[in-house]
Amino acid sequence: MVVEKEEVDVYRRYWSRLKKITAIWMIAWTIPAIFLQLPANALKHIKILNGIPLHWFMAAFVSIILGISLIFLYAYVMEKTDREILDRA
Amino acid sequence: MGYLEGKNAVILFVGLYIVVVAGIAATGNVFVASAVGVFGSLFLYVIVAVLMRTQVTKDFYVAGRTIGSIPIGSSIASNWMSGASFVSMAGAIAVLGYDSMPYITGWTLGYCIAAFMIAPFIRRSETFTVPEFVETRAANWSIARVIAVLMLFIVSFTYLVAQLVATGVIIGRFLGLPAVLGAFLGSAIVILFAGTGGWRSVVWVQVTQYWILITAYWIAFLTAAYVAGIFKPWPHFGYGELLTQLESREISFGLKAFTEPFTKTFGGGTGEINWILSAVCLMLGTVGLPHVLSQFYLVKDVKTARYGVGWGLTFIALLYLTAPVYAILARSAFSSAWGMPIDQVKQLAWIQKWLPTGLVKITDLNGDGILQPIEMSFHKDIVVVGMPDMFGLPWFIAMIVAVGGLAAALSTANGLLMVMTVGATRDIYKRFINPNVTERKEVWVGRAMLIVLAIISGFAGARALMDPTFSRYVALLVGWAFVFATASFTPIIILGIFWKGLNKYGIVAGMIAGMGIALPYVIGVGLMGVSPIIFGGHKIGTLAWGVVAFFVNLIVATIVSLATKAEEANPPETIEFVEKLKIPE
Repeated sequence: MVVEKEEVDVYRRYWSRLKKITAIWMIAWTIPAIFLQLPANALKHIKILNGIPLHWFMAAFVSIILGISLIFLYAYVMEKTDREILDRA
Repeated sequence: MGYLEGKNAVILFVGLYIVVVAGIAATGNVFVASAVGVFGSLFLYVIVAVLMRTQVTKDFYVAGRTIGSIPIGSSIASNWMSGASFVSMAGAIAVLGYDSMPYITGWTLGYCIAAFMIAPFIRRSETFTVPEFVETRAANWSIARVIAVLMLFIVSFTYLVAQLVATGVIIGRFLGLPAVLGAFLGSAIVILFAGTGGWRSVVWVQVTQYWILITAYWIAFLTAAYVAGIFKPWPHFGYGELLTQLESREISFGLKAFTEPFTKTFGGGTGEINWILSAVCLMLGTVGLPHVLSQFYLVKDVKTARYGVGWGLTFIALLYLTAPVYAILARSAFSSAWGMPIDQVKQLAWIQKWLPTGLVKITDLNGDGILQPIEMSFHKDIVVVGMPDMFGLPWFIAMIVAVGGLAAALSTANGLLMVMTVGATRDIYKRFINPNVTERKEVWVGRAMLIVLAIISGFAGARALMDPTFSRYVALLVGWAFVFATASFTPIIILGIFWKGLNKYGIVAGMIAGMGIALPYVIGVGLMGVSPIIFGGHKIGTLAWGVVAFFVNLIVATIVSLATKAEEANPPETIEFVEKLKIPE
């Protein structure tokens, strides 16, 4: 009985951590998906790299690189969480 | 036999292939060399498929759940990138400029949602198909599974037809053979891939096809970029000067600059709100498409699912980050003909080659003998297909592009056909007709289903190539699939994983409400020419509307679940199922 209760506690702690991480990462996702793209009309006047307008470069390059980094970061943090909470139990 | 044990056979074949193509080319017969090169690539996939053949249902349905993160990443990428991504996307960008960029962000960042909220849990569910997942989550309610299978068939079938059309077009464009023949050849060849070992064969064929398609895309791109001089220091950052040149040329001809935002319609809408919402709809739709979800079943474990999606997006990005630069290269190549005397333009080698195909059209509208931008029009396929000629690249670059385009179309076709086969076998035959079927017989039933489905879609593909009206509906449905997935599956799957309170009443009500909002708008605005809703001075297109349907589904599903006692209405098995999803093995 005691062991079972501990197990349930571990699962509960794991899931609440996972939910928190998911929420943080989904909020971070809105940066490349929405917020980098919103100011397109302002960013178009800024030229980088010898003439590439920044709004174009955001959509064509920056946002996707950010998306990839977010996924790998998530996988890494979750792997650590798995080890920290589940393996110790 | 494993993939690695078969490696020698694959390497031997590739060596032989290069020697034969080069040998024929050395005799001076470039057309035969191209044809052998293009068709020869198909044999490579067949060899991989045969090496991975199987009789075990678990291998057939989910590749034994053994795939590692880098192979599944390649397979996710080639499963995702269709013939259209390879052949038409750079062209669509070249035509629409910044306003087409929702394709780039929308068709990539959906994989973030997949990684954070879907893929690991789908894998953990240990179900075999998306309809099975939906049924289990909806308290083993069989109607939910039937609806899910129907949805899966409608979406996958139209998608598959579009791939077979692309196969036909590629074979037609590059080799001058009848496109209808290409469509049938496409359907015959995917029977071979999928029939041998189900997902186990298909996934490794897709891995092979990914590396072929991306190599082909990059070879053509890098050569053209080198000729255009944008290695400053690398094409993806070095096109600034070229773009400035292009835009000042456009402005001097009275056009809007290429990267000027919000000047054209996208998905029937205008302005930045439509731009953002369309992109978000493509992202949400991505993770509701059955053939995308099915890949997440094949991985070793939950951890591999997370990293696998990361590699998947990385490999997708190798093409999606390149397409915008490709578009600028092509646009600056063909815009250099503006202002030239038309007689002189018609002497350009690539114009001479492509004018008869109708992909390029030149008409002297004002009769002054000088080419104005409006007097030269393009089919969007010309960018990738015609690029080797625009930059005067050697013949084998065009052949490599054809091989890559074919790999892109076939790899998506494989996956779609496999999803439908598993749907027909496991979700219909085994679930409703003969639950006690032996494993061996089940695999054979799967193969039979596969052949029937491939033949039907082959005919539909041929029909689409011959009948423009039919073809138009296929193209429309492919675009709308994202709206429908966003409106029906995506919210239910996410809510089903994260909220125990979602019950079968909520699931049904949510899906009906979502589709009820999406379908009339899509048909009205997209098909019957009803004018779209105006929000903040901008038109809301059909794609952008999908996001509205997503939230309606989410809200209705929540309210109805709460009104029907939420969690209490779920039997203990369903609660147990949701609890299981939460904790990795």
